[in-house]
Amino acid sequence: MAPLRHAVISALISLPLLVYSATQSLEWNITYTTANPDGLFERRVMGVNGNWPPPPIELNFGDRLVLNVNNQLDDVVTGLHTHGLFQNGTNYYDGPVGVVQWYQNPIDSRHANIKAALHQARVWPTILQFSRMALIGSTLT
Amino acid sequence: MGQYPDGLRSPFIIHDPNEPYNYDEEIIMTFSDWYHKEMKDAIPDFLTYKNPTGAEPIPQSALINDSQNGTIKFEAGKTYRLRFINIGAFATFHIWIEGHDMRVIELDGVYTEEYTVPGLDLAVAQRVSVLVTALNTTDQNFPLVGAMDTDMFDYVPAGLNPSNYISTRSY
Repeated sequence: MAPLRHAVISALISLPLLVYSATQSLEWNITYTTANPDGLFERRVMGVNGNWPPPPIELNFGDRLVLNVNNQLDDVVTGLHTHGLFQNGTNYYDGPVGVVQWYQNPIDSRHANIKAALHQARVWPTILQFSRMALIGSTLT
Repeated sequence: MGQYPDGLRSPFIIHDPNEPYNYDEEIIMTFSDWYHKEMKDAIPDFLTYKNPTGAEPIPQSALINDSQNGTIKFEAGKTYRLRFINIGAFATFHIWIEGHDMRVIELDGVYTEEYTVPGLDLAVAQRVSVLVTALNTTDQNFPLVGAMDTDMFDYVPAGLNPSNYISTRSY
């Protein structure tokens, strides 16, 4: 009976996790747009889905985020990373582009096939644990 | 330096279902230096032999929640969790609220014991959560000030206002 008892106990323990865990899927097209946040100067900025500022992301502890990132900046590579998240085993979703993280190439018809593959690869399977707050930024090579 | 001073950055909040602190509402507050020059132009100016002292670009403005002179709602007697995030590139911010103490409860995603401060400094990429209880008054609004620390600027250009504030709107 011991295995059954263990199975029941582990199921009960994991129940709250199952209740709380959710997956949030987001489509982010990184795009240029313009903004004048200080009222002094209108300038080109990098935004998401044509808007600036980029939207905040809010999750619950233990949730999974799948962020599909599409680089539509035309002229530069880009990448996203977070501050404050453990990326144990998912180092390639963190840190500097070209060092530990793959490039997100700009749209380029010559590399259309490669790009499509990259875009599909650019999901974040990070299970968010232990951290409660972080900041998204971007790196440039 | 990179693309985030060009605007590609945003808050990333993970809520704790077993939140150990009690508060009525939470407000995300980002602080950022702001540059009129795009980083693709600012970086070559910075990383060049013509800049042997390594003088960093000086920001033109200070932003709170990516704007200026905004407002946040403060209901008398209610306790707010303010999530301060410095999403800027260079400048540290001094942050305080007129007439209100702040109780620090979290630093960079880690809870702390509650610790009361009159104000705090927030370096680039730092995250701090504070609890603030709105004063029991509805006849006055209070500025929440974010002032860039200009000590690290090689010079402070004439006309630069290193401060920005958000008014609490009392109810």
